[in-house]
Amino acid sequence: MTDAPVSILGTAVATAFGVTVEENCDALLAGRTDFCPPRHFDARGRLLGVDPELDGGAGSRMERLLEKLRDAVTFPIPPGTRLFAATTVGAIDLLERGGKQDTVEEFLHLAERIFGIPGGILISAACASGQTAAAVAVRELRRGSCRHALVLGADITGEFVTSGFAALGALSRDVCRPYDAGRDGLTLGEGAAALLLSASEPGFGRITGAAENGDARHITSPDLSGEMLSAACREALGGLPPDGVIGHGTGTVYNDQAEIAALARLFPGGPPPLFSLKGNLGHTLGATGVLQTALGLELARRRVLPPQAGLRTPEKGACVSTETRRLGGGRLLSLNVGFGGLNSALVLEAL
Amino acid sequence: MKITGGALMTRERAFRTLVRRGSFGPFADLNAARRHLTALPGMVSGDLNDFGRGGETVRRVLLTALLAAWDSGGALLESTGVFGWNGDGCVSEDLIYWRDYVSCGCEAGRGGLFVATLPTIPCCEAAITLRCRGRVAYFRTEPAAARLEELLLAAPGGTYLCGETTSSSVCMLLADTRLDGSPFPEASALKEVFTALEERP
Repeated sequence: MTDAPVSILGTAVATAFGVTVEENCDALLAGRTDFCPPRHFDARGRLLGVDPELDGGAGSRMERLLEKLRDAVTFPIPPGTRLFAATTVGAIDLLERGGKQDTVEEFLHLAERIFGIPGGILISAACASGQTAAAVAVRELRRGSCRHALVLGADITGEFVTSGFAALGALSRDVCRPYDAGRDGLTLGEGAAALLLSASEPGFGRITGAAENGDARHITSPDLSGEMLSAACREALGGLPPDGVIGHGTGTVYNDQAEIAALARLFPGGPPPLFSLKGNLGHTLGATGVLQTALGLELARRRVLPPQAGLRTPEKGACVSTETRRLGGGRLLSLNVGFGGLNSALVLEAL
Repeated sequence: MKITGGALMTRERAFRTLVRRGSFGPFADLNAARRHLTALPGMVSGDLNDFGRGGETVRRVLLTALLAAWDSGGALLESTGVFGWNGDGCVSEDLIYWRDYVSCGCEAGRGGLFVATLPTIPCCEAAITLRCRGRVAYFRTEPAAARLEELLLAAPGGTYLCGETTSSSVCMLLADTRLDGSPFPEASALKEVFTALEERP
C-alpha cells in the first residue's frame, strides 16, 4: 500500500442550483443562495436550503435526489466499480411516514439500485460522513481492493432533522452566516454529489491526502482549541500548504470557532483564504464532504474562491471575504466536522 | 491483523471476554453491571461521568468497550480508532426520538434523543470514555466479517475497537492491524467471530 495520490475521474452534483458542477460553481461565485420555506413539511417559518424539484412523488425524497444525481452523471462508471455511500439520516422521510425504519440501510439499497452497483458500503460519520467515505475509498483503492470507486454523499431535508437541530438550539433564526462575527446557527440544506476515483488512471484532479480523528471530548461540541482538527489537517497536507480552504463552516458559534482555531494553529503566519458553501446551499449533512470535493475541484481548476455568502463582519482570525478571491494555485484543503468530535481533512488538487 | 482483546454482552446482561476468558453476570441492570465491572482489578480508567446521558444502547456499548480494553491488558493507545459495523445501527434511537417528537412537539422534544439518532454516537461515547482520538466511523456492508477485516486492513495501521450492536448483544473486538494474526473466521456477524475465536485454544 502506498500513499500515492488517487485520481478523480469524474464529479457530479445535484443541488437546487442545478445538475452540473459548472452551474453550481457559477452560482457560488455569483453569491446565490437557495433558502426558502419548504413545501414538503411545516418548518414553522424556518428557511432551508431546499431543492423544490424533489417535491412530490410517492417514494422517498431520497430516491428522487439519487435519481437526479444519477441523471447528472456524465462519466462512464466502469464495471466492477465499488460503491461508497455516505449519509447521516438516509431516507428519513420513510420513517416519518411510518414506513421503513432502517433509513440508512434503505439509503444504501436505493443507491445500489439506482447506480446499478451491488455490494456497496455505507459510511456514516455524522456530518463528516462525506469526506470520511472519500477517505475510506482512497485507502481501498491504494490497497488494491478495487480499481474504481464511486463515492456518493446525499441527505434530504425533512421534519425529523429540522426538529432535532431546532431542539438542540443549533438553527439560525434567519439564515446561516459562516465565519461571521454575528453568526447564530446553521441552516439545513439538501443535495447530493458523486466522485469517481481511481488509483491507476489519470484524471482531471486528485486527492493527495486524507486524515480523520476524534476530539474525544464532548458528544456535540467541538474542541474549541482546534487541536485534533489541526492535527488531521497537518497529516493530510503532508507538509505542503494549500492555496485555499473549503471549510465545514456551518455558521454555528462553536463549529466555526473551532475551525478558525485549528487553522490558526496550522498557519501561525496567517491562514489561507477560507470559504464555506453552506452560506449558499445550507448544511447538507452527509453530502457536504462530497459536494465540497466536487465543487472544490472546479473552484481549484478556476483558481478562485467565491465570496462568502451571508458574511457581514468576518470573525477575528478567519480569512474570509465578500469578494471573489484569486488563488495562487489549485491545491485546496477541505474540512468536515461532525457530532461526537469527529474531524476530517482532505486535500485535493486540480490538474 | 491480531485480535488483542474482546468482550461480548448478551441479552441477559452477562459478559464474556476473549483473552482473559472472563465471565461476569448476568446482572439485574446496567448500573449493577457497571458497579461490578469497574471494580475489576486492573480495569482501565474511563470517564463514566456521563454514563446516564446516553440511552441504553450507549450504556451497553460503554460497558462492553471498557471490558474489551480490560481484556486487552490495559489502557488503549490514544490513537485507537473506533468503528461500528452492521448490527441494528440506530433504528431504535430513531424511533425513540421520532415518537417523542410527535407526542411532545418541536420545541418540547428532547435534543439529547436526537443526538442519539446518529449511528456513530455509541462509538463516539466509547471514544470519549476511553480517550481514544483515532478515526471513528460506522460501516454498513454485506454481512461478511471478511468485509470488515478488509476495511480495517485498508485503514492506516494501528489499533481499532470494532463494535456490533443488536437488540440482543453487543460485541467489541480490539484489533491491531500492525501485528500478524489469523484472518477473521468466516462469519456473518462480529458476535460469531467472537464465539469462533473463543473456541480456539
